Amino acid sequence: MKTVAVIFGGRSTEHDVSIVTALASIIKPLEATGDYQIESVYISKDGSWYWDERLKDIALYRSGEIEEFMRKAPKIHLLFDDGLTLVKSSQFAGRKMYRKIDVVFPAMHGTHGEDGELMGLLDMANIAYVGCDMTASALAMDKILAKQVTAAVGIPSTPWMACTAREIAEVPHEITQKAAALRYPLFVKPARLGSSIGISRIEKPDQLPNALEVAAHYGDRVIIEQAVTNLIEVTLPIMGNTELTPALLERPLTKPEDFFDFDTKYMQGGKKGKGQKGAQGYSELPAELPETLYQKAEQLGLDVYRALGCAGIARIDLLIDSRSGDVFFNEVNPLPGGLYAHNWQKAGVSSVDLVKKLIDLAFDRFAQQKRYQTSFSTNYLKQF
Amino acid sequence: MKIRAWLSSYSRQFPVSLVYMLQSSEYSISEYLGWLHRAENFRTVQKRKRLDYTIKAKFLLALAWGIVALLILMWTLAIILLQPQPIGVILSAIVVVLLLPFALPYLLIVPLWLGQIVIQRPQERAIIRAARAKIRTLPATTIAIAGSYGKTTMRDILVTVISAGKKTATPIKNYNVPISVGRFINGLDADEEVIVVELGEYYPGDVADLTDLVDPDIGVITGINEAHLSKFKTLENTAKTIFELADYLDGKPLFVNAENKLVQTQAKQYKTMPYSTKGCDGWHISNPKTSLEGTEFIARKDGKEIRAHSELLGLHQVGPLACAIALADSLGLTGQQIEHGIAQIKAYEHRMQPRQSNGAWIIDDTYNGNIDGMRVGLKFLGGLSAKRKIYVTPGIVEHGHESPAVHQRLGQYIAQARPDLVVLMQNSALADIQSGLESADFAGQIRIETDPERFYHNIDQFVASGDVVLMQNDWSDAYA
Repeated sequence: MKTVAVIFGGRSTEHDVSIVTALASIIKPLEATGDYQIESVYISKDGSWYWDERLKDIALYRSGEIEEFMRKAPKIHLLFDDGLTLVKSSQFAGRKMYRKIDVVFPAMHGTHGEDGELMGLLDMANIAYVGCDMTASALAMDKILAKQVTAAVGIPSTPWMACTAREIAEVPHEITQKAAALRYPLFVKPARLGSSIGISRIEKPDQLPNALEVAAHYGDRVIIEQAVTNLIEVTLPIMGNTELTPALLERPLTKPEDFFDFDTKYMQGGKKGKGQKGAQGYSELPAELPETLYQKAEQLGLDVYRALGCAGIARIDLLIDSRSGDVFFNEVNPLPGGLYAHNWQKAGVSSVDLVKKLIDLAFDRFAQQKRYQTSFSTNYLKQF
Repeated sequence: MKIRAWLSSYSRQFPVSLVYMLQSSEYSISEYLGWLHRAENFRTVQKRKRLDYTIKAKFLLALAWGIVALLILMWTLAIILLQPQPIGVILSAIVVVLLLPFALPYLLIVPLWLGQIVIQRPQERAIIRAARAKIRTLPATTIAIAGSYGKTTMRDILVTVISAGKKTATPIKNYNVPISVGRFINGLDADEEVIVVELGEYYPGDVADLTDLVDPDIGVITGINEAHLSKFKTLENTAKTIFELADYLDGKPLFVNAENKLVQTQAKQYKTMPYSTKGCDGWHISNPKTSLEGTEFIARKDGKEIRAHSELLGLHQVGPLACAIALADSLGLTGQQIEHGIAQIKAYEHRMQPRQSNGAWIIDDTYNGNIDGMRVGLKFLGGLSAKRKIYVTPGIVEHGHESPAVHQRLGQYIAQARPDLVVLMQNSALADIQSGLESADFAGQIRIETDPERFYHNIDQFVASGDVVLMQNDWSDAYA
């Protein structure tokens, strides 16, 4: 039986979303199979790591008892022994508990996790892990880099520009001037954040400075994008390493000005203030598009996935101009919230099959990487 | 008692587990003792349900703790009496401690048995006597249903259809033993027009007793098979017991399932009205169709036509529905009333009951515990188109010496339905079902669950849009 460590939480604005993804979409189906030993590894908001069976219970977090738990529980150590072993003190007689991990299932949205930092650590540990690697994750999470890389292989995006927090502070008028080349309405976003945090949609130039300030609050780089008129927004989850399997194009059912901010997406429902479900309960699945347009969008999504070097799973957001039939790349989510399990289920892939396949993909990629030589002996040191 | 079971009996859970086992066995001492000898861990007896703290259960629990306290008191007295001889004290302590797990389960049933003899049975006899007298004064037409399987479904069909035109009464749930039927009769208002009663058969003579109690005007026999064979020992005994209904009716209307061979054979000695997918009592069935949306057909007799549509699944429902049409017609219901009644029939809980989960169809047939019922359910599954077909079963209980043969047949029926995935449980039926699958060259995937509770609670994790899952039978904690 393979041992899977699910790592979630983290120092991120998407900390709570990560808990739900880990418990509901990863741990639950994995445990239902009975085929894996699941170890839950929680990273608190202050960056401390914990490992305990009780961390699998959502009630621990909902009730606030997690604080009490963290006060009493020992923080864990990681042993890099040509793999990864979790080490925890039992607090009795100096005893320690060890658990060798066969594969890691990252479930950390946002900073320090989804952005590739965790993947880098796991690469160094020489252990298989699910999902995009460090490079693809870093590219995907940075909206500016993602657009630059995809543009280099001919994938279209709507016109955009980038600026830094320093420029926003020091030369805001220059930014406003450059932005004049773009057609309003515009979206102003932090370049390296997900879950729609810090995003503003602006209709007029006088709204720009405030929007820039909001975005700059969350990171040092900001992207300004031209909105699509006659917009149909779709998203496409994709699974695979070299052979790709798309799920279904999904269309959130909102008005253009009512885009999914964080609160709407996860807390309230697709219509602001109404409904009990998150946005995933209010979408058209599959998106009702003419067949050729559906295929065009799907192909663009697959092209983006390949261009950024994604692996395991990712979700590609696309913008469609329904009048012209143009499809534009918007952004990539290298760790979809809840793995977008609802979409996979509609596409005919059960939650159990989804997580099992992702683990198989992780092992496949790891086996492939082992074939590459990454170190060798030299005489370099002899000259010193 | 196995070692593991013996060790587990030293937990605080032991008395609660014993009382739970008694309650789940419906206080049948023989069933309780059978479970006692099978139990491997008294800490984990309560899997599917928990002890219901009724007055009787609380009394038994108090009695159990009382017995434990008494044994400890005896040991304390032994210490006092044997004091100068410490070896005697130690020996007596060892005896008490070792005896406890063996003594308590048996000591607990002594007052139960005494209570049954002195209090319960006389009370029950009085209730049954009163009910027997009362029903003979009621003007209602009484319909009695007997059979190894399908009784509850037939009862529910008849009640729903006949209710569309007549005031109809039936015992709640599937109460079908003399005391529960007796209580039901004593509670009737006397203005009912039709009474429908299921006759439970657990031992030879049961049907005769119940038939004598309810004095039916019409009988229905739904089928004969190996269900409860552990008690009847032979199919001949089973058939003879079920046809005790026919003996009592002595020429009064008796509807029988013409699609069951054992019923066909036994029915030759009697005047009967057979029902089947072809019709019943002059009613001819045409265009039968079934899908996940329900079952429909047209029934015609003497210029009358009934267009039946019900939510029940499977063509095997057509026969019972035809019986219901014939019976309701004979009771004076109009065609419109009968159509309306049939349309009201909902899938019964845990009997080919469909529901959706994550875009998949899950057919809950977990109350189906007989091989013929499972065969027709599997035939239904085989006839459906789906992206993926999944079949789940732990097997069947109470088939005595026929169990291996029955489970091999089950394996073959499963293979014929050609599911993509079969989920079986790690239990005594597993090897025989697998053997049946193999003999029928089953080419799909087999998954063996070691923790059925985990699987059933997480079924939604295993399914996706386009899947159809058929779950048949479920083992109670007594057989888990």
